[in-house]
Amino acid sequence: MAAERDTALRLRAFLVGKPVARLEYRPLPVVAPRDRMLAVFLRMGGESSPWAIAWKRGKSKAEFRSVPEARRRTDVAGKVADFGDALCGHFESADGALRQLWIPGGTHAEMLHFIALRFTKAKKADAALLPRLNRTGRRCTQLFDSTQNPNSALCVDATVRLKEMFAFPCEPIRENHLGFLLAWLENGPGSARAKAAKAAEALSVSTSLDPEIERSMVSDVEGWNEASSEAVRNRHAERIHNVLESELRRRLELLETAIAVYDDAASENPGAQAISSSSMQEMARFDDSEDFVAQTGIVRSPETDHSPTTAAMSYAHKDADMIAARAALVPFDRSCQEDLIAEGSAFRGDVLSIGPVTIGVRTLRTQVVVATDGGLPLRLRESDSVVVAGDLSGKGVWKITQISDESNRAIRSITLIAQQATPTGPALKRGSAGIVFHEKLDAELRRRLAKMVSNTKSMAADGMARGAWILEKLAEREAPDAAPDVEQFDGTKTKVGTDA
Amino acid sequence: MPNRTVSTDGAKHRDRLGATMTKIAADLWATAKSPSVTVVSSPPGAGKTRTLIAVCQHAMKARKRVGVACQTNAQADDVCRRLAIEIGASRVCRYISATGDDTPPVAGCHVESTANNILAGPLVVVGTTMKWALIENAPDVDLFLIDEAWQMALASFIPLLRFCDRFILIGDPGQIPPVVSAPTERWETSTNPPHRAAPEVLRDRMDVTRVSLPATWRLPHDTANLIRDFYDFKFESAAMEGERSLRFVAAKSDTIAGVDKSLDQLTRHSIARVLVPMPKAGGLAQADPDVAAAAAATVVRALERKATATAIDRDVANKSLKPTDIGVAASHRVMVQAVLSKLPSELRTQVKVDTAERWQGLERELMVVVHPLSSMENPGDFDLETGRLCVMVSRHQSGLVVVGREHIGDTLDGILPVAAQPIGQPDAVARGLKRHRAFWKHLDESERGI
Amino acid sequence: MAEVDGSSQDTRRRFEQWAKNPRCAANAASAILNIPMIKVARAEGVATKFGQSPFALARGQSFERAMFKEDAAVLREGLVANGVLPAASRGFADFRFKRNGGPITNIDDGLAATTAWMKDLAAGRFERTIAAGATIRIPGGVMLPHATLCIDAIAVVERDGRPSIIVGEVKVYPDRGGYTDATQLATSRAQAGMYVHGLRLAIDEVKLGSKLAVESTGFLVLSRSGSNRISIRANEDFSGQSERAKTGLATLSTVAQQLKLQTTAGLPVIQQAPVTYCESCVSFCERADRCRSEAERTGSGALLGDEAQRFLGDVTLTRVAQLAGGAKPRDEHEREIARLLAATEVRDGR
Repeated sequence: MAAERDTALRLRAFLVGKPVARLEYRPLPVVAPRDRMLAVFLRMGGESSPWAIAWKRGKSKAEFRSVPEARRRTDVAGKVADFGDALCGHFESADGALRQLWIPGGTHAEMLHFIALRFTKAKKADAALLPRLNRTGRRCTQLFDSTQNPNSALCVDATVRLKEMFAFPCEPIRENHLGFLLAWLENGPGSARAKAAKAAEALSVSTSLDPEIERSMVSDVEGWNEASSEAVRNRHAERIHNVLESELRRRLELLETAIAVYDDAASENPGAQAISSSSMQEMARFDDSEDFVAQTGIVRSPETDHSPTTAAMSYAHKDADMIAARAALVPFDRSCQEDLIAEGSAFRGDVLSIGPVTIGVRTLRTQVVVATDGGLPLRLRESDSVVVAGDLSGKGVWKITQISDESNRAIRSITLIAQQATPTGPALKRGSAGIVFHEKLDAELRRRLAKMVSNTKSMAADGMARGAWILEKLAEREAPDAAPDVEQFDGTKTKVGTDA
Repeated sequence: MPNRTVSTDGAKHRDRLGATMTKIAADLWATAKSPSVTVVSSPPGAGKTRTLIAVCQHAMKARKRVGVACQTNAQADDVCRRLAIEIGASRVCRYISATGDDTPPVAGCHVESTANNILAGPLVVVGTTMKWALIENAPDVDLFLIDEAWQMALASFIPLLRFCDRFILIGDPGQIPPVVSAPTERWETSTNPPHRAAPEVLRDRMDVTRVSLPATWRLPHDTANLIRDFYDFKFESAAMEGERSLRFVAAKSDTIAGVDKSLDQLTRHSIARVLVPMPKAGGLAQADPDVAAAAAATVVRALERKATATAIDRDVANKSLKPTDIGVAASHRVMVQAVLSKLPSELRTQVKVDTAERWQGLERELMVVVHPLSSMENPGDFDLETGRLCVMVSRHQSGLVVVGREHIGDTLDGILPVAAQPIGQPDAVARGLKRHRAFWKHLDESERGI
Repeated sequence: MAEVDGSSQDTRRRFEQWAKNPRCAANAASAILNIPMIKVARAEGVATKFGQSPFALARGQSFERAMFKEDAAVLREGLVANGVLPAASRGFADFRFKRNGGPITNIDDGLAATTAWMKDLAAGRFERTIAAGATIRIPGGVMLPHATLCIDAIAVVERDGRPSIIVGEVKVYPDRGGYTDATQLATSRAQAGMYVHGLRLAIDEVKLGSKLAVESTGFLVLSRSGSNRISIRANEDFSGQSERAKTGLATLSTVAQQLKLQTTAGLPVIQQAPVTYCESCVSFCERADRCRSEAERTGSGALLGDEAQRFLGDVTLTRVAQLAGGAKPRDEHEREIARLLAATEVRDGR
């Protein structure tokens, strides 16, 4: 979204004393509780693996898992495997339905990535544990990627989605706290909301614990490490677990509230069906990729793609996903159209004239002249293709043939010619007002690019690509991925001191 | 009066440059006789398209076929027109999409959308990068030329490898990089980042022949010296010192914020500055009305004082500047609107006022530029990015006036850049800041006569 | 990361505190006078939380120890594998303080040992090509009589017959490729830049500048997710950040002179200094709420973030409310604000 429009929405929120909707419709499907899984994580300070995990599938009771000492890697791995079994089971038992994993915010998405990086390619661990961990890593790679993809509904970051849905009357930096956002979204006058938001901000909802809480746990963690008997050890473990469970529970409750608030925020954008479909395809692709892994042992790296063709295909698909999500949502949501106008990728205008025009020797097409606000930004240029907002097929393409500004630059007139004999989309006539034309959102071009990159790879392998030698050069000296092992805690009982 | 000594030296200088350009084209053709990748870096206005066409001429003489990929349809049409002049329209084919406009860009030029329909024999086939990348079957070509190559990502280049084994990528690395809308974190540490400009990745990853064009034919001598800092290769101006000049009728009185003084400065240097004092009260905002007024006043005064341009190297003598010979550039749309609102209405459709992005590829005798950091006491990374500044200060053929608030030097001095770039990436913010500071220092020194 | 003693930690911390909001006079005064803002906040009755995670501190120590044990075997292996050091490199100069597992007992010993080692290098003696905790003093600092820095890790190579120092910064946060936390990376590079700049000054101070070079590119040592293993990222560009340290220290020195602060000045000086609230204050300053209230009172656009402040300039939120209520815009800028506001329809906000 253009920075100025974001500022304007924020100003609007400030003026009314409460969050205002950024979008007319909710862009993402919210599946039924039976198809939802919630997950929250906690980590020990300085660590990048879970100290505790909570999850809740459907309407079942929440499960809480923790380890007393987060630096004991095999213990942590065991809990991650348990979580992974539940996670994979959730998606594998979908039975044709769209399944979702919901997480509270960015640090929890980060934890999915930590798990992916740690376990996807791990090679050394207990024989029974290793395949569970590898599988968990692969699934977490997929779900982490999903949080970065607006065309995916598989893994949903509640904070990101609430920020997308509402403009808040505050600095952007504060909006990363789910409790803060939810407090603003509660009912009540602005001053009460602001006060509640400030209070909520004081309690961590990230994967990190408040340092004061951690300080209160130091003696139990050290006690557990140094315990001379099982009974003593268990007492320490129980106290540690109680604290962690309490923190997990609070986050889980916030997450449940966030889902309800988001679901209630607006009706679902009819275009969100396309996002559901693409998410279903994503689930199917993952299943296929599991077969591929089983056959070949080749696994998608959680970090990056070094191969030039894999990287190019993956990037083209990601670009396509960004465009596809927009293409699905823009026709229905006027706020999305306003965003495009603010960016300069769309314009709104009144039809001044419409009539046939001859192209070339005898091709007849429709030409329309539209008057638009000359003060607005416009990135679109002559020869660019646009469609009328609301054209669900996206195939009613108009080409801009002329852009000219009046002498006072208040009015800009844009001439367009339809590319089909009978253009699809909303009917235009002289005097039609407030028609929005926006850039053609054609994800297919990017998907096709990915396909052509794939063709290039195949042709090169078959000796049919003349430039194959360049691909070979690019593929040389690729940096190796690390393959960390699941190692034991090194036993160094580093005394946990106070901060300097 | 033109200085005959300067003119003779200038002619020799340009003959030498011309010979260099001819040799470059010949060398490029020679390199392309075997599988190879050549990256040609070009400063602004250095004759990229001229070089591309010269290579095509070699190819036609050798009865070969050339594919040309341009980044936009408008650029492809322009290349076809210029090719037609040099090699004849019958040797040019405009390769279009199935739904594209089949009007020939120039009379006699072929237009085809299907590879099978393209004529056999020596031909230059010109299409957009997207067209070439997305087709299943392409016409046979012996060599591939890619124009404005820094605007093409690696991902778009790879499909071209199906059709050819020798490539010449030519472009200006100093331009504003293309907007990348998809998140790229996944590939920032890739050895083959698909979102980065193809020439950069090819240069990093394999042995490529590197060539740079020797001179800018657009920019005056001292401007070329100034913007060299924006590039990692050396180049000069085809115009020698003193060969380009602007003259103005004497000013009877000064106008806003030293506008006349800056125009007088343009008679000695190709770059001048208008500094607008800080407001007595209140802060600054992006759409700074005083700066907009100063920029507009510069345009108006230049015309009132009957600006004339002389360019010995271009055989231009005392050319009276019309409004269409003057342009104004700003970083932000709101400033563009503010400048327009200050221009007299009769000038608004004649003087092009636009953002840096939309100035790419264009030029004017006289440019007035609102400094990207003007009225920004707390600039962000967008403002410090130097591609925009580089584009804005490389559009002029005779003179450039930089307009801005007088805080800019202090603001630049006070910036403590944050290096938040992904792992392994260059510190573009610090590099941009260094270039900004050097540019501002040059303006200071130029005013003091250093 | 090697927070060996208060002064070294203070120097960097205070510089970075100032750099986060250099336009705030109170922030500058706090950094210059070395009176942490948390003290000022508490004196004003603000309930503050303090401190870092105790486990994070311990983790940092254990991570570093594992890396440097047995003559820095783990670090050396990583540096060789990433092309920073040649395979034949040997020797480890351990300048870490005792509490971090090293042999040094106090700052002066650390300084002396580091200087002696640099002189060895300058004389062509390359017996020790990795150093941990090298201690240097930046002469004539503004915040202390002299600022002391302890450098996490240094590698030494030979270039054109001359020893060349490569600075490394060690952090515990995990390497996630392109997803690695940008704020953490910025902090690491800022610290490394300070080291590069400081080393150059220190080397010049002992007149070794012609014999010993400090490279502008260095390395980062991060962790691998969920593991004790290290991840080295070489060829990190610290040139901009060393320049930042240089100009920043000079600017801070000027600011100190302008503020005319007495070294005996206390808390009241900070309390009375003008404040400039901005978005980043939320993340580092214990007085942020107080300054935010002040911004609220004056109607500053900073309440809605830096971008909003940039856009609004000196147009206050009160004026924005008037424009939204139909007040006539006074100029083009206000017209633009009114137009943008009108384009935002109010829907069913909760």
